[in-house]
Amino acid sequence: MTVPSEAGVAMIRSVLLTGSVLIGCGAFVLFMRFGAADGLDVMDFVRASLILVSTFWLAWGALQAVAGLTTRPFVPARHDGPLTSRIAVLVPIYNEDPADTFPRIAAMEASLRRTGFGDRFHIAILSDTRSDVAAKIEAQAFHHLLQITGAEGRIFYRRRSTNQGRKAGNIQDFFTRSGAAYDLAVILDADSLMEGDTMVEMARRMEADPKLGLLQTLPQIVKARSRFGRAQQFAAGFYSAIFCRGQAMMQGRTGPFWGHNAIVRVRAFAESCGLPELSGQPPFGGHIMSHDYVEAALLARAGWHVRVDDDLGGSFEEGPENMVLHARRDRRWCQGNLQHARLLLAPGLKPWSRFIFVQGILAYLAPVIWLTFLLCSILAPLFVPPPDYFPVEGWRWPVVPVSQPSQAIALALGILGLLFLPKLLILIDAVLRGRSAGFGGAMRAAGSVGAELLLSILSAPVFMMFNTRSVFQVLSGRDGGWPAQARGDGRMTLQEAWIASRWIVMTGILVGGLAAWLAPHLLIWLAPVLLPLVIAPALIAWSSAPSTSALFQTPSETALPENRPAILRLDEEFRQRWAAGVDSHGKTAA
Amino acid sequence: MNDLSPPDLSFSYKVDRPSAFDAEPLAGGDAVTSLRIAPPEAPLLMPTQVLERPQRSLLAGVLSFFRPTRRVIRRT
Repeated sequence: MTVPSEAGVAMIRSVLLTGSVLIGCGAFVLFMRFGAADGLDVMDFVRASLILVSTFWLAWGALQAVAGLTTRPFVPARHDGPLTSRIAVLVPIYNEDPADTFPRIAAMEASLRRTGFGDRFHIAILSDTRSDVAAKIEAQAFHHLLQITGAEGRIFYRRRSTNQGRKAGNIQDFFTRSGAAYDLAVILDADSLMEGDTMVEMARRMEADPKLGLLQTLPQIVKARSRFGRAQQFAAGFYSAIFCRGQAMMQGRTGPFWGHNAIVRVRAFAESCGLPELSGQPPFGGHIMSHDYVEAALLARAGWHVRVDDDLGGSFEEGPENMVLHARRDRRWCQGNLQHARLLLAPGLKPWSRFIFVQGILAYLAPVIWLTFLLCSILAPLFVPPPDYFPVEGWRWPVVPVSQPSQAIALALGILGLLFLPKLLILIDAVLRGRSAGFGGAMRAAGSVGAELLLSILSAPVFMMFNTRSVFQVLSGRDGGWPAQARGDGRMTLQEAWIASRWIVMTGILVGGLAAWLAPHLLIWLAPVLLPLVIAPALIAWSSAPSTSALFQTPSETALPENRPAILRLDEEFRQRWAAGVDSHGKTAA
Repeated sequence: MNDLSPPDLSFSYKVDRPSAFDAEPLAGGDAVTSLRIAPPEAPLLMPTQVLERPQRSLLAGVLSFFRPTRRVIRRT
């Protein structure tokens, strides 16, 4: 895989940043002209500034997609021959159900053996499970895992007595105890699934480039069942590759680490990524929550290259099945990203690493900015100065202020364009290049994009509220802790959804009432935001139900059975064997 | 401050590292609850990185303006 030269990367960054800033400034000017119609006031400046930041953020995302569409990934020739490295595959687990996690490990072990390089790999299950009962079940399940794989001596298990440093600490504990036995380490999540071929190819690329400290894959979401989950799975498969390519063009050698489905050079990681505890109390002090971004930045600081290769297939993960689980995960990520504000001035970091921190922070502040803009717009009539019909002294005829709805409409269309155009361009590109075939054909892919856009429009205001709450919780010093990932079918009843989102409904009604009182003319503009808030429980419950639609198909589903990714077939096979084993072993992995 | 020089790629530890990969795995350390087979013991140092600049009070920051002057005086 080649990355653009340093000069090329700098040029792409400059073009995209300049373009985004110009688009943001354009939105600012349009809004100011709109606001000037009835006389400028302080609220106009505030709203125009909020629009500037929000539009810059939208443009930044949209231009990344354009960059991804205008470049093609370089697919390196795959080499055969021996693999000299010794590689650990690390599977950190934390209160996971072994019946769900361990069959995946068995599948990956079998997949690695099929490559002929199974002897170069060890798999280490690194348990941070806190409950002794759950740990006992893990222990029994581990024996069962060894029985069904016959991989004693190649699969290991250890449980820490404390979960100091959480996942990053778990990995660090492994490196400090066992790291010298390995050259490379594939870091996974409990729900990760990777083809043996992919892991071998990653190891080869690491061997081929001795300066490469970390190589990240782009995991595809699989096994989603709910309407929400399947829409997310489709979006990740259909759009993410393009956005990722755009990112890769800009990041150059200062690429990302997303915490899993990546391979690291053990020595580089050990030398560079020992994370300190930040001074002070959580949420801003203590352990670094979103450690992956920081580890990528530290590798780059030490001179190692960090790269994402979007051409590597065979990398999978699972996603949240409903909007509440998604919001709960986002709460953790929100705290982690806001905590990065403490690291913006960390010594020696590359400027791009600092920018990535800013980008992560802005991702969580953007919905707050939008909400603030809406509230300011509702309150704006209170700040409008009384009309001056005779602005020119001595002029005999009154001057009636002219409304500028065209400016507002142009701005709204521009923002909608930034939101939707990238996805539509990706659809056109997929149809023209035949990529849509993997998503059920051009018509079905178009239908899926339309349905996904509709669901995004409906769910965005609800996520805006969840996100805003998360930001305020973090800023007010509330630590979200480290809840175990909830996996499973994720179906929610209307009552459960109501309990989770009644505060959103109340907020929607309150804001709607305020708008009707202070700025009734805005109600039509606010309807696309307020309506989803009011129907949030119904939306959450409906989208958590299993999908029966033919939409949202992905390549791993549309392929003929024999062409489906082998690791998915192995996973299913081992799940069946696991279940059979549980029956014969009583409570082995119950 | 961290050493920001390019990484040394000589992999010196390779020479001395235990051959645990090929040998029977050993039990884990004291703080680890071992279950039958723990990963091989092959310790590797993982130094804690510096991410925070030492905090200075406002007064110390103001006084630091005068330090170069004092150094010059000492040298002369």
